[in-house]
Amino acid sequence: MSAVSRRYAKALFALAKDSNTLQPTADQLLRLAAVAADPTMGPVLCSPMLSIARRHELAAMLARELTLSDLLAHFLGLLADHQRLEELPAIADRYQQLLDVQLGRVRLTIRSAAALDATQEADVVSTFATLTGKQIVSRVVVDGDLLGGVVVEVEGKVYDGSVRTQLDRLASELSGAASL
Amino acid sequence: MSWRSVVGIAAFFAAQGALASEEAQGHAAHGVPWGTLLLSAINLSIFVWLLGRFVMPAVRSWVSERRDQVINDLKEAAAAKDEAARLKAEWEARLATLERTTTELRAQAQRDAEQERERILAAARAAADAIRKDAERAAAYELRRMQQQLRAELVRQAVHLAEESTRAQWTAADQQRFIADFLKQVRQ
Repeated sequence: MSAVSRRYAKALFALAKDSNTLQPTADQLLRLAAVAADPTMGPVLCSPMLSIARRHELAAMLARELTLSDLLAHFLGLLADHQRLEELPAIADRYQQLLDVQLGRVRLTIRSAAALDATQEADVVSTFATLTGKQIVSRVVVDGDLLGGVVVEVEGKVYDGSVRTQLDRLASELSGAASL
Repeated sequence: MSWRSVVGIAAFFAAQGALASEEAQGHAAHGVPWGTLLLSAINLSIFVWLLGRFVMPAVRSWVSERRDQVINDLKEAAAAKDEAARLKAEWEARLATLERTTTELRAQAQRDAEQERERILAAARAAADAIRKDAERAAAYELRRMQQQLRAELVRQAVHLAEESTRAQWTAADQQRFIADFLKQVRQ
């Protein structure tokens, strides 16, 4: 994440906070970031071949199509003027982080060997909510390479309870013992 | 006085001698010819004086020079003899020293050769020892490496079998139990 994206995210967050639209702005920004990150739309938006006027026109059209708030529409125009549209995904990430801090919540990613049912996910979220003392926003990713168990990432930490890691650790210990 | 004057005086006395001899022959019949005897004595004295005055210095000078020459020759001969004796002694000493030096050099050469032999043998032994140790180390390393490879392969196979077994036999109940254990550990 670049310093530029952090500065833009911080400015947008301050404006959204002032207008009391933190969450709606976050939702719209996520949609906008998804469009910017799209393999077909992204290169067009970020193309240096486009003139500023054309890029600005494209941004306005995007704002209309996504029914963005005036704040985000202006923000998008500003990014187009300064040729910073490629920073949108990073800005959205940073905005989410600022919003999470503001709302006292943390993002939690659960990588699981198999899809979790609602009870299992709730158990994990409950456990880590207790551990962090914050509201949890969870996301589940199925990763068959884990073989079994889960890996939880929260606040920059990784809690590994996967069969894959235990097997790797066992292999490492056996190899280490063998090399003695 | 020159030699011509001496010869002239000698001729004068010789003529007087001859005259006296003629007078003596005339008076022989009358007893002792005292005048002739006197003149002969005077003649002899003058002759002796002349010899002593003119001949003897030259003879004396020649004898003296000859004597000095002989003395010098003798001195030179003595010096040459001394030099020869000194050279002889020196060469005898050298010969004696040469023999001793030769003996010492031979002994030193033998000692050096022995030391060199010992050194070469020691170096050869050290080299052989190093080669043997290197070979032992290489063999031990290779053995360890192969053992590690074998064990690594065994571990890899065991992990692979465990993976396959887990994939085949992992159930929802296993997942539930695993998650429960994991969360229990997190809470602790």
